[in-house]
Amino acid sequence: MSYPRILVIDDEENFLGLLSKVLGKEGYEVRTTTDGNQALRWHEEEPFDLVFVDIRMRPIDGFSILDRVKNLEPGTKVVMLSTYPGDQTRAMAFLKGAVEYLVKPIDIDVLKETVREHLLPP
Amino acid sequence: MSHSEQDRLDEGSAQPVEALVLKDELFMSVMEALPYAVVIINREGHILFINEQTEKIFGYNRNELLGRFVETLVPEHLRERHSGHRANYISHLTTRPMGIGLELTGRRKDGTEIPVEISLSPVSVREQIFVTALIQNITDRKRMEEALRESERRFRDLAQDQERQLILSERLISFGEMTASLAHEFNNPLGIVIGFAQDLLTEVDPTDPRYQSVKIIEEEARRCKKIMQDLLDFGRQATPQFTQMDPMEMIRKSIDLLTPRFHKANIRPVIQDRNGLPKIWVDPQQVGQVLVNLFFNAIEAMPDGGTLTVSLTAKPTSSIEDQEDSLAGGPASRTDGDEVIITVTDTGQGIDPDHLSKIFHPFFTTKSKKGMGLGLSICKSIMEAHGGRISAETVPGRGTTFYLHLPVDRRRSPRDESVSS
Repeated sequence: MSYPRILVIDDEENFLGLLSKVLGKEGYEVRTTTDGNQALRWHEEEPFDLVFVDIRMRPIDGFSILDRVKNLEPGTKVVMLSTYPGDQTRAMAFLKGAVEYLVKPIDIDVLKETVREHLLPP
Repeated sequence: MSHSEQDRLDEGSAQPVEALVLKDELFMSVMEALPYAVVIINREGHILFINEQTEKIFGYNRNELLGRFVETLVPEHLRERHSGHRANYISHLTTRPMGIGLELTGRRKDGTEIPVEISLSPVSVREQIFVTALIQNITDRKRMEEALRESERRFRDLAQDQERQLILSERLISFGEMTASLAHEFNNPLGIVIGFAQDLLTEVDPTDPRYQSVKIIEEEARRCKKIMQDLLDFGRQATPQFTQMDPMEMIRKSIDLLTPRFHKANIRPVIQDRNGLPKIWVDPQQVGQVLVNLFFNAIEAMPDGGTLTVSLTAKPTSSIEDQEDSLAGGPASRTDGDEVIITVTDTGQGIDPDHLSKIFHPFFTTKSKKGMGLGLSICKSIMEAHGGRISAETVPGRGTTFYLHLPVDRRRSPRDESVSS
């Protein structure tokens, strides 16, 4: 049996490093990238169970990544990450099928809790 | 007409008596009908003739002026100079029309001075020089001109004030945008530092000396995060998080927070307790911030100590606004249309009445170098976000009272923030 797979897409390397370390220690298989296109290629090859994606991304923004991830694999759970929270972006995230909307900076206990809620224990 | 008759009419000196009388009457009638004061003087400056207008304007009767020097009608301090001007004019006779911009002053019999405009015309009769002065009292015109200037000045001040306000508002907007953007940008790396520190803490044994170091890193990073959050709140007021509160409890907490400072400043805080007041829907943190801000201002207004009185009253406000709200079916509603008024009174120096209308403007401050002048403007924003308002009354030298009007229930749905992520 394989471990639940998590993908994190964010343009901050250190943030990716933090999530990789924290979630890796929890027993999940974690892949991270700053490149949205790369992320989509990986997801196409082998879908992830849970995807964290920052809304403010370039060249493909987080909402476009959310749409394409859901198109490729409708069952994938997506958590949107926002630096500039707003009710409109929050509403749009849920409307497009995200399971969570987390505001940065994210407390790692909240992060772990979110993962536990949406994935089976590794 | 005979030749001799024609000669008689042509030569003034040889006119029949009737004609002379007629001319004299005509001259007098014209003089009296003129809307100007007419003063005729000889080359020595003696007054030979005045009309009725002269009597009216200067307050003399004819007998008091005839034969006197024309300088009688000139203020004492200008008489000497006037004599010089007069002598100069007599030796260079020209007609000087009215309104050539000379600001002249006349002196009335009672000593009061009046602004006048004067035209001068030299007349030569039988080789004698006379000067006719037409004088107009321009007091009313000057008053109107002054009123016009004053109104123009006020208008200009108002325009400048509005321009200043506009600039301040723009500065406030850019200040808000800058702090918001700065706070967000700092929050991300700070979040990463906190995250790694938290993670490290799970790996290091609490007895390990390094544990304490990591703990300090985490705590200090959290402190930075709190500072950034405060800055964010300062620049852009956060949406109130409404909760039902006993207003008296809120006041007590804010007073308690500053008790050491009151004590140090020799200020006695007095809470006029009242029972039976309704609980109010407020963001206690934000309204607490307003109270603390007012208390700090009160402390500064009472450098020699004094009394700070906080009281509470409830007032029904069944206003048209409420009816409109319910008709529009808007999100804002008041359960019973009541409002609670928190009154904060100090016994300090008071506020200059000229400043009172500006104290809630952003960046307005009388505390040079001490503040940015944002405190009361933020208080105003917070009160408005609560559907309430803030006002002030002051008696210079005796103290200031601030009134915080808060609706009992004015919850709003959170504001939408359009963010292009």
